Amino acid sequence: MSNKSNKALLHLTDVSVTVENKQVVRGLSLTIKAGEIHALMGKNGSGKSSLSNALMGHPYYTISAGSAELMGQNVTELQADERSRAGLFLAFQYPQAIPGVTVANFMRSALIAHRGKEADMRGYRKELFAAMDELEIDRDFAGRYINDGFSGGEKKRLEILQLFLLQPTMAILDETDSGLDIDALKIVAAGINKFHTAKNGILLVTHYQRILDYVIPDYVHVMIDGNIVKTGGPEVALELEEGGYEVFQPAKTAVGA
Amino acid sequence: MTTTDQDIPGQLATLPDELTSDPDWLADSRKESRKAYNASDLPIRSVHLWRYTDPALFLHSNGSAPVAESNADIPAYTEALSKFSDGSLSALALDNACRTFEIKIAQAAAKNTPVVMTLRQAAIERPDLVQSHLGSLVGAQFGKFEALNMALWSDGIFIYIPKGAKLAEPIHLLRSGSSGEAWSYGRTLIVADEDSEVTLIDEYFSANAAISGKSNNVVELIGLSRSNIHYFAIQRNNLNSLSFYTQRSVLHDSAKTTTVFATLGAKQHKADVGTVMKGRRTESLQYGLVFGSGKQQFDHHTVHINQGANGYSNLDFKVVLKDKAHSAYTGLIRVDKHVQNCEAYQSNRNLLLTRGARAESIPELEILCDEVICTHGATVGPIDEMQLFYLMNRGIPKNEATKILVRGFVEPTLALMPDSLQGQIRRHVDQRLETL
Ligand SMILES: Nc1ncnc2c1ncn2[C@@H]1O[C@H](COP(=O)(O)OP(=O)(O)OP(=O)(O)O)[C@@H](O)[C@H]1O
Ligand SMILES: [Mg+2]
Repeated sequence: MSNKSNKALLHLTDVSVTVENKQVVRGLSLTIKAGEIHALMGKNGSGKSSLSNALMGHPYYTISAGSAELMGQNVTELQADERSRAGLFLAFQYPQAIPGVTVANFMRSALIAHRGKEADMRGYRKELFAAMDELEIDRDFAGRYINDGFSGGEKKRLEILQLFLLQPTMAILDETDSGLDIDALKIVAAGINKFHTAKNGILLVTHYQRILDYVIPDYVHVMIDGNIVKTGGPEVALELEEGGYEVFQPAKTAVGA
Repeated sequence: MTTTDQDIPGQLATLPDELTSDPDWLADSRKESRKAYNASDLPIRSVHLWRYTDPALFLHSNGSAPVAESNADIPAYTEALSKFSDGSLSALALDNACRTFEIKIAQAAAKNTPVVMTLRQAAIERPDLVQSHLGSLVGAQFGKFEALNMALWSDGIFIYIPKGAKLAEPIHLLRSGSSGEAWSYGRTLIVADEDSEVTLIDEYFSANAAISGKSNNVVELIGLSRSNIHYFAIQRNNLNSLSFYTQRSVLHDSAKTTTVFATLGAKQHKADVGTVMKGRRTESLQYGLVFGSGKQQFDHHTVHINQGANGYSNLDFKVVLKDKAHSAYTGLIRVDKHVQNCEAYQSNRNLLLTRGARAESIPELEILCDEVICTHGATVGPIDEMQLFYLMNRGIPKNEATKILVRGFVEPTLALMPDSLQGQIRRHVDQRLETL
């Protein structure tokens, strides 16, 4: 058991990511083990979403160098849907709207994909509604088209609903706290804590200390210009809050060297 | 009859004897229409509306008369009959190759009972309702092949919804195509009297899956003041058939109509559909749903003509194509001079599922007045990559995700239809998506 909890869920070694022929992540290394919560903080445009998207198999973002392993498996060998079924999950910073496809049908298809075609879906409605109740999402949303006309906060909650239902092993949450009001932030944070167990890992991308008051990270990483320039405990987030990114700027050369 | 008539291909030398027994006014109209057909030139390919389809395909050809299958061999009829017995239809009419008809009308209070009969019978029994409307929207001057229909329609359906009647259940029309090689000419006239409301399902299909039927159909819908007509036309002929279809509605003061055209079948389908908004404060909602595969060719033209003040029209035409299917869409919005405060919207979206599929979209606006709000838009392209990625992100394989997105694309249009039709089209689309 203890052996299992030491296993790396996500193991990134010198990962570079390219988008539109531009390198936006440069030789980043990061290891997340079962039971851990890592916060990734960084300036706008430092490459946090690019890294997340590339790991998930977004068609525009390529892992151009280095190795990215999901539970020992090279993710670049997997299609986006296979990565999901292998246990990887990304809550998007900007969730996509899909008019015409209801939340209920979508989640049903996703669960069938995860659990196998022959899965017994009889309890599905109950499961969906229970998760919605927990996240205080109105049940009417089940019949609405995915993110179509949703407010910013509603979109983020829907991402967490999917996290709940799919129960991934490794979850990347890209600024799920942005756009949430104080009450929603507490609900979502409670949801993340409830989801979190000794068996899964979370990479929480955020700009704000606030969510870290509720979801306590084991590690905080600071990202500048496509790489992690500082790693530490929760205190790093507090330093950031006080001094801004200036404090970490010089560290870049030190780490890069 | 002149000798030259016989020499030119496609000319109609005489009218079949069986049609000359109509009342004089109708027989005369057929004769005039025959002349109009013969006298008009074949549309030129470079000309508007004929750029994508060869008009020679629709010329009359002599041949044995259309053949009707036995009613018992038409599963759709058996199904509809049971729906009728359930009480979920106000009326049911089987039009079997425009040759034989079965008409059933549900028992209801007289004021809520529609008149449903064959059009030729109606011409004899109800000239008061038929004569002034027949050909008023799609007559001999409309176009060459519409004149041909006006001359040769062998029969069809007439429906009259009495004043103030609100039919709770739909009227279902089943058009079983001819299983012969000859052209069949069908005609439908629907008159919704003042303050009436009706839902019509007009379903065209091939009785025989193999034989290449050829049909030229005309539908005229008359919406008198404050009437509300919901018209759902579905064409699911077999993939060998040829289909020519013209539909027009007219709306008088405060009348409304919602029309949905679902084109699924035929090797080649050319359709011209539209609404003339004649009165004031009319509302016309038009929707199209086209699904093409193989080498199917579709050529749709939609029309909204605003003639009265304060009209509102909206058109949303969606096309999904795979394999080497082709769709051409032209959509006209015309706002006549001195028409005040009207709104007209139009959108055409084409989803191409394979590289070989092609779609053309040509919006046309003829706005002759100032006080009008008008928008139009067209898109042609593959499945949205970002939507696909979002679904795949949740573990849904690409193929399944694509199907979900196609279903999502058509869903808002399906949602407008009566339940039974929704289910039918959904199953049809799913079946066609199986080999994606
Ligand atoms: N699709 C794209 N096309 C072109 N450039 C892109 C694209 N996506 C990201 N970039 C660029 O890559 C860099 C990193 O962007 P990214 O979105 O990863 O930053 P981020 O750290 O998530 O920022 P934020 O905190 O604002 O969300 C930026 O310079 C951005 O402009
Ligand atoms: Mg970002």
